[in-house]
Parts: sequence; structure tokens; C-alpha cells
Amino acid sequence: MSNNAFYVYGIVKFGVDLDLNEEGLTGKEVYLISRGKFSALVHNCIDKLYTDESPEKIKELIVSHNKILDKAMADFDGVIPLSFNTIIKKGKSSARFNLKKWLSDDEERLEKIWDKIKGKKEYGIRIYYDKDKLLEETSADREIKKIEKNIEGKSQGLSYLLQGKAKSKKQELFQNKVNGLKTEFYEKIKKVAEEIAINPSRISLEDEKDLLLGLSVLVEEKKVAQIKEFLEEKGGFSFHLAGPFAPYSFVQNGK
Amino acid sequence: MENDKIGIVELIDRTLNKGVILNADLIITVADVPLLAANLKLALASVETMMKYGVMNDWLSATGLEKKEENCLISPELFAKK
Repeated sequence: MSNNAFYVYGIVKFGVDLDLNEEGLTGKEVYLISRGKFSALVHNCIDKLYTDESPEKIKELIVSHNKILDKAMADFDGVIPLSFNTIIKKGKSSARFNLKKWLSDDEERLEKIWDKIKGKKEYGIRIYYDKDKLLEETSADREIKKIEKNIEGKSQGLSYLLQGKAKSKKQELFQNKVNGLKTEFYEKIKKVAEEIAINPSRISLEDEKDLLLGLSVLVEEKKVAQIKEFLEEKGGFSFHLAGPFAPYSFVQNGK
Repeated sequence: MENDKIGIVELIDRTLNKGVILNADLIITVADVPLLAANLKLALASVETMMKYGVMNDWLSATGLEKKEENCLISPELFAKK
């Protein structure tokens, strides 16, 4: 096991080696290693991943990782974050050489990403709706009422068929309404944000069953108020705005 | 659900699953150490049994760790790729 490895937090466009004057994971001193226009935020470590028996300790590590990224966002007007526990180690060459080589080889890609994220932060938006109310509205739809009226006085067999038709129509109308609402929120927020991404459904918390839409947005901080204002004005919904975060969701390619 | 719990879920999800990909050899990533995954599962569980909400399913599935929870009793060095 070598002690010539670097834990890498993220990348900033700075180009000069510098102490960050901030403690990272387990109190390690964080500094910048630069090559060309870009600098990696690192601390010295051994080539072994951070882990711990204590779950609380691991949470602390994750929070420390993000504390460094927050500091970088403030000091350098942006940061390209790396995921937790990315460590570059030595091979035939030193870890420092490997890191600098990567900064150099990927400079064009980093430049594209930087142009996009500079001066912006990521927020998570979760929008909730009243599912029961929407179902009620669907049931009150004229088309549904018409089908239900037709059922009255019909034979058992025909009544069964019409009930099935009404149920399927209700589902279709309900889904259309949901999709319409999702599109409306998405389009409205997209106008303010630099970029927007729909969060995968893996975060579906049990006690928030009526989540309409989960989004990640890349946005200038001064424009966040506009998003909040729109969400607050739109009645019948509730929302949760999380962040700011380093722009994790918008740096995975150099487009 | 309290807002700060949603906030920590959002933070952990991003920190573990996203970020720029480092195109270089000689990178150690979380996929190399099952113990970390197991312990992170505990970390999340201690927030609010988040594993049952599926926060880390993609991550664990990608690393093939779902069926290796028993490995968390073994020292991490055994799993670290040299």
C-alpha cells in the first residue's frame, strides 16, 4: 500500500497550485494541484478507500466531501464535482503525474463542462400533488359521466363491459392530466434554468407517494427565487427545494 | 417527511451516484470495496431506513453487491484491488 495517492474532490478552473485553507475528510489539508487551466482539489492519502464501521462516521465523510465542494464553489465561482471516494494512485508513474496527465488529457472536456456550470449551482426540486383530488376531478369528467349514465338500466353483461370502459377511460384521463401537469412544471422551470434533468425514480420515499415530479436544475443562484415564486403561485401543489449542491447531475459528459 | 431528511437523501444520492467521470487508469472507486457499500447502507439506514426506499439500488446493483452483505464482516483490505 502506497501513501502516494490523492483523494480528489473536484476540479476548478484556476491553474495555479494553492492551499485551500480548509480541512477535508478526517481533517486532511486540502490543496490544489494544477496542470494547464485546471486544478484538482485533493488531499494526500494512501491508496485505500475511506470507510468506517460507524455509519455516522461515513455520513460525516460524505458531508466533509461536500463541504470542500461548497467552499470551492464560493471561491472559484464553480466546481466540477467528483463522486465520493475517488482516489488516484501511483502506477509506474507517481499519483501526481497521473493526476496532471488526466487534467491535461481531458482539458477540452473539462473546458466544455466548466463553461456550462460556471456561476451556477444545482438544486433538487420535488413537486407533490393531491392525487385524491385529481382522481375526483377525473371522475367528474363529462365523458366519464356519459359512460356511467349509459350503464344505468343496462343488462348485467353490458353493464360490466361499460364499467370496464369507464375505468379504462378514467385511467387514461388521469394519466393525461398527470402528464400535462408534469410538462407544465418542466417547461416553466426550464425557461429559468440553464439545464434541467428529471431525476430517476430511485428516490421514491415511502411517505411521499404523491410525488408528481423530481427534478435537478442547474441555475444561477439569483434565479432560484423565480422558480420558487412560480411553484408558490401554482396552487394545489406543494414542493421541496433542496440545495444548493455542487452540479453533480450536469457534469457527466462534456456536451 | 421532514425537509432536512429529504435534503440529506438528495445530497447522498448525488455524492454517490453522480459527478464527473475521471477517465484515467489507476483510479480506485467505490466499486472496488464491498465493505464501503455495506457500511453506507447502514449510514443511510440510520438516517431513516433509506435503503428500503431504494436510494442506493442502482449503485449496489451496478457493483453487484446486493447479495454480498455478509461480506461486511470481513476486513476491507481483502476487497481492495491492488
